[in-house]
Amino acid sequence: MLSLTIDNKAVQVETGTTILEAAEKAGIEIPTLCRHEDITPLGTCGMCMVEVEGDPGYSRACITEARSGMRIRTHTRELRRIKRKLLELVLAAHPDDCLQCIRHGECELQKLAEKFEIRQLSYDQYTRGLPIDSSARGIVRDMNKCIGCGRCVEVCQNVQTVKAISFYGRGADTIVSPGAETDMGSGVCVNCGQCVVYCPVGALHEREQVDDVWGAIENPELHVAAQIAPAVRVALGEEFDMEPGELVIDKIYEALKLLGVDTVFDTNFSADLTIMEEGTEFLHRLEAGGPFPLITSCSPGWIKFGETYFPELIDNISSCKSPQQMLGALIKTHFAETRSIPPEKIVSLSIMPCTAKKFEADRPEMNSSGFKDVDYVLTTRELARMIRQAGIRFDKLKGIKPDKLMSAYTGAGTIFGATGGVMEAALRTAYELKTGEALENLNFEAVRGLEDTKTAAIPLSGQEIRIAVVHGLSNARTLLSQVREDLKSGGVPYHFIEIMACRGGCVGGGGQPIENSLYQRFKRAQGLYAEDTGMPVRKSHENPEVAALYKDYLQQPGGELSHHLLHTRYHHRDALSI
Amino acid sequence: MKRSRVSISSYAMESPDIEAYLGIGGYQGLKKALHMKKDGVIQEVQESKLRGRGGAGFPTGKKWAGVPQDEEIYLVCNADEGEPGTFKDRYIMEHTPFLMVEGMTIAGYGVGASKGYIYIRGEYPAIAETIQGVLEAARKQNLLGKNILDGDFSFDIEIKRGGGSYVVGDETALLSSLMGKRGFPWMKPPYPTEKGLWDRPTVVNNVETLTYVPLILAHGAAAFADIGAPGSPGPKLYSVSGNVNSPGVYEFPMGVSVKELLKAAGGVQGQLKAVQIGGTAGPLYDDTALSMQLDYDSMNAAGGTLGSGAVVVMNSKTNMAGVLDVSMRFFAEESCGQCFPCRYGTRQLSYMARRIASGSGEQHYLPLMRETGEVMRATSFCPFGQSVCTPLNSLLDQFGDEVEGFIRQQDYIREVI
Amino acid sequence: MQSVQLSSVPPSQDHILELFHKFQKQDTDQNYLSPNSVRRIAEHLNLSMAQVYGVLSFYHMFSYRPRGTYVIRLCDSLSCRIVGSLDIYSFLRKELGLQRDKVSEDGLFSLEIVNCLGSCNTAPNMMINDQLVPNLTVEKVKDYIHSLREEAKNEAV
Repeated sequence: MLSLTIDNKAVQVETGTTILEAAEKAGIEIPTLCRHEDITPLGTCGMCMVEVEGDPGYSRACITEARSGMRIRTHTRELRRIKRKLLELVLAAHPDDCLQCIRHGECELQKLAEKFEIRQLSYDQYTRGLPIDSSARGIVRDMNKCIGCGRCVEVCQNVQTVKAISFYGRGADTIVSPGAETDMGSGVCVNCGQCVVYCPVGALHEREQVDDVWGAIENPELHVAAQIAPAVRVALGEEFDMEPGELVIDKIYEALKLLGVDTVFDTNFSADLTIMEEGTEFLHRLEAGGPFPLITSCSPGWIKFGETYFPELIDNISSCKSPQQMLGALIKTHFAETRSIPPEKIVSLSIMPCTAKKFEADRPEMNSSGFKDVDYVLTTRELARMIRQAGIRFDKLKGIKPDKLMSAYTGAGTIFGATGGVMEAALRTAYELKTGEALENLNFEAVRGLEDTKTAAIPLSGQEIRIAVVHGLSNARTLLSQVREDLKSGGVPYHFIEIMACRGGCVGGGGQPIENSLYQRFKRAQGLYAEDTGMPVRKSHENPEVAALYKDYLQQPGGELSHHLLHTRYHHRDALSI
Repeated sequence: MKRSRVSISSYAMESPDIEAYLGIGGYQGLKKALHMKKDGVIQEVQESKLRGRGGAGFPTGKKWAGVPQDEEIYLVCNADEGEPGTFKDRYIMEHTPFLMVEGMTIAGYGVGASKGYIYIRGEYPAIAETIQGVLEAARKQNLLGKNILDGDFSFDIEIKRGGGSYVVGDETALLSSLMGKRGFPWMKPPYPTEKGLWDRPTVVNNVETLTYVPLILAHGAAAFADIGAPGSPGPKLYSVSGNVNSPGVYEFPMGVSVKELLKAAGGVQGQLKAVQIGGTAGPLYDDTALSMQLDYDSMNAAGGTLGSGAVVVMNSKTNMAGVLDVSMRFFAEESCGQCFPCRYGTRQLSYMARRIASGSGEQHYLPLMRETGEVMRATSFCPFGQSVCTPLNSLLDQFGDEVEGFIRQQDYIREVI
Repeated sequence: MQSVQLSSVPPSQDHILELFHKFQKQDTDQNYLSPNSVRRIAEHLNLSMAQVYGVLSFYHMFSYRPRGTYVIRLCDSLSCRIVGSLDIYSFLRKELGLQRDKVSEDGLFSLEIVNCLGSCNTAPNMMINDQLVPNLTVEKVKDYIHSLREEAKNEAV
């Protein structure tokens, strides 16, 4: 252990701790701008400079390791003066439109300016005058606001390994770009939105559809039917000062009705439905002896990634649509018929933790019913804005029940939002359907948690089923590169793989409340597992509404109507498109 | 020019010719080195007290001695000469390239490297071709490549061309660039000798530094250490340019006075107004510079730096507002953009200098520019941003009246580009 | 122009600058890197387009936009400025009708202002493509441009 003092406060830390981390332990907050706890520190901004007695000049607290006996001062008069000037330099290069900015009130630059009491700018202001890039379906890139912290580049290249963006240009002209005067939409960006949740300012944000949704709600001729993803119910509360992981689904149902949504369903229902379809698909493959592995398909960020970088494995991906798309298709068909509403008058709305879902909803093939499965996708953040715009005191809502037909769900459905959740739900059903026996313990601890890659071998009717769960696309890349190699030499490394584009699973999606740190994601997942444990029904094949759906409409899992409405296809994408 | 054999210029040729080079004693240094132990070679260089000639002046032997044992050690010759006013490395590569390559080979042997790179700035394409021929000639004579001179030591050199960036002359930025990335410097420690190219121990030395190494080995450390200033001995190639009658490269013992150097360069054209010593990040002096001694310790003691040994001379026709504009513009154009203080600071500084030079300067710019330079000195990631305040402050200290008058009269220079 | 052969270049990122130089020189006579060139480089080095453009955009000798057949790089660092780079610039602007970073209408010339070319004893300096043209005077530049125009005319014939 090392002993040092920071602002006259003594603190002890392990070797390898940075000064910044040591200060955190001592209860001292050193200002930062480019640094994020989930990302390797880059040391670009200079806001964390501290004075270390005996060391020349100042040191960057975020990347300087603590040494025993260090005496550190974090906010001398000189340091405050220097940092204020540095902030003025950054602000002079930043657009002056806080009031119109999507991150107003949630912006790290704003917070620092407030902290340092910037009352005037000594410098003449300028902006880059660049056009805003709204070409990607899920993400908007506004390089006039980019401060060049480098978090998004680090995340896209090293954490997600999509490599859709890079630093571009030199000096003060440096921005983040997919290429030379090209836009994100025509490149390899998968819309996972991890860049968005780590951006400290409004340079990267979701493509907003709030106004479109208001328009649909306020149009008396249209019937708006909504669905809510599992990961939203344990995160939306954070937008209203509640804790991450707090289950607020009943309040969400009520809030949607208060906003004017006509019918409220739940994506957890179609999560259970997906298990039926995918479970059946898996059991078919087991019988046929392949092709293995079967890879899950509910993460649209992963799907585009797979189509781009692992086209050889496209046939391995489950043909099942995601729960969002399945429910959307059923809303335009089964629901429309049941309630005698013409499908062209129905607006299918989904509330998602995810920016890639906006891309998925707009995929041209997602209209097998003749109508678009999902018309609008709102991220958790956008829904929060709508709720505030309507003056609803979310935290004070008592909560209501959703509309019957396609909203009942089991514990298996709700855990879809956590990494490992789809796999666990699938195993609960596959096991019982295959062996005819009930599982003693429904919890598959081996697939839970934030470890990069989780593997297990499950005995199933005399066969050993090898499964793997990855989250974060760099882990997907590593695993699939290995799988690709193994398949070439004739091996069957895994039978079933769950891939989630975002670390932590959907709870860490690009549409979740900002301050989407790994810690938050962990707490949200805990909330889902807690909900699952407390539910009376915890297996997808025991969902009564799912059973009714097959009886009354789809006939059987994998049947003709299922294939028509609930399954899809993929296509090879050019890894070098711009 | 010195007649002594311990001088680069005494090996100068119009165009490289290995036979001629061998004829005048070339490769004696390498032959001696290969008969010594590696540590002996390092010790010889340490005893010579050779200090890096790129600008930092770090003791070369000390750098080499810090290289740990490893299977993969790299030696990099920094031929990215981009420092304005500096053209000595061009001189070496055009007229004494074999001396440089021999020096690299000796260095490779001393530090235990089997692979060397010469990173030549992109704007020297003809030189890159010349060096390619030099390497081939050396290989043909078994002086480079596998089993040099039929011994156990194998060492080969690959040329890497740059693409037009000043900042990659900085040690770690150069390594980033050599690996094919954007030229961002990285934080030291760890130093490149510990973790350099692809995380392997890497020694980066300037062209001139390596070019003196064969002379040290051939003639002995003492012969080198006896020349010039005791604290930083040896000959030095000085680049003199600007308003002098015979701009060029002049080799003198370390510590020559500015006065003597300018005399060798044909004297000042017109009346001496200002001298910038050390490169673009060096201070500007008025004629008090004449008595200064051009070695590392003397310059440091005088609050300046020898840097690359560039001396740029300005006469009374030079407009200092124009100099300020050119100087600040350089930093803004060459800033790599990695850290906020330098990226934003150089932009604001060049903006203000530009406005001053084009008749729209404001009086509050001057103290604001100084303050900006200070912030950059305190918070920039690397010496590039940290050093902008040096030419800025010295210019305003020496010629502040002129610049203030310029602003007051809303005067402007004929053109800003 | 000839297509660049990639087979002799190892597929590792440290060869990217070498490939930029090669493609820029050989692929077209407009001294730039077309999207197709960038694509071939990305493919060879197993990098994404964003990564390749990211490196390209850092180094000022490379351009993703077509430039002149003759790229004029005029130095305007301190030593060249002191001895008259502005005179040369004024002349080039008028003679070629060009601002910095622009291409002449006939596509023959583009003008760039660069920092120190490392030949300050022969200032003012410029480079035209790979050639250093030292000791500039307005007369010398005039003659040079003229001979390049002649050469271009002859080649067209």
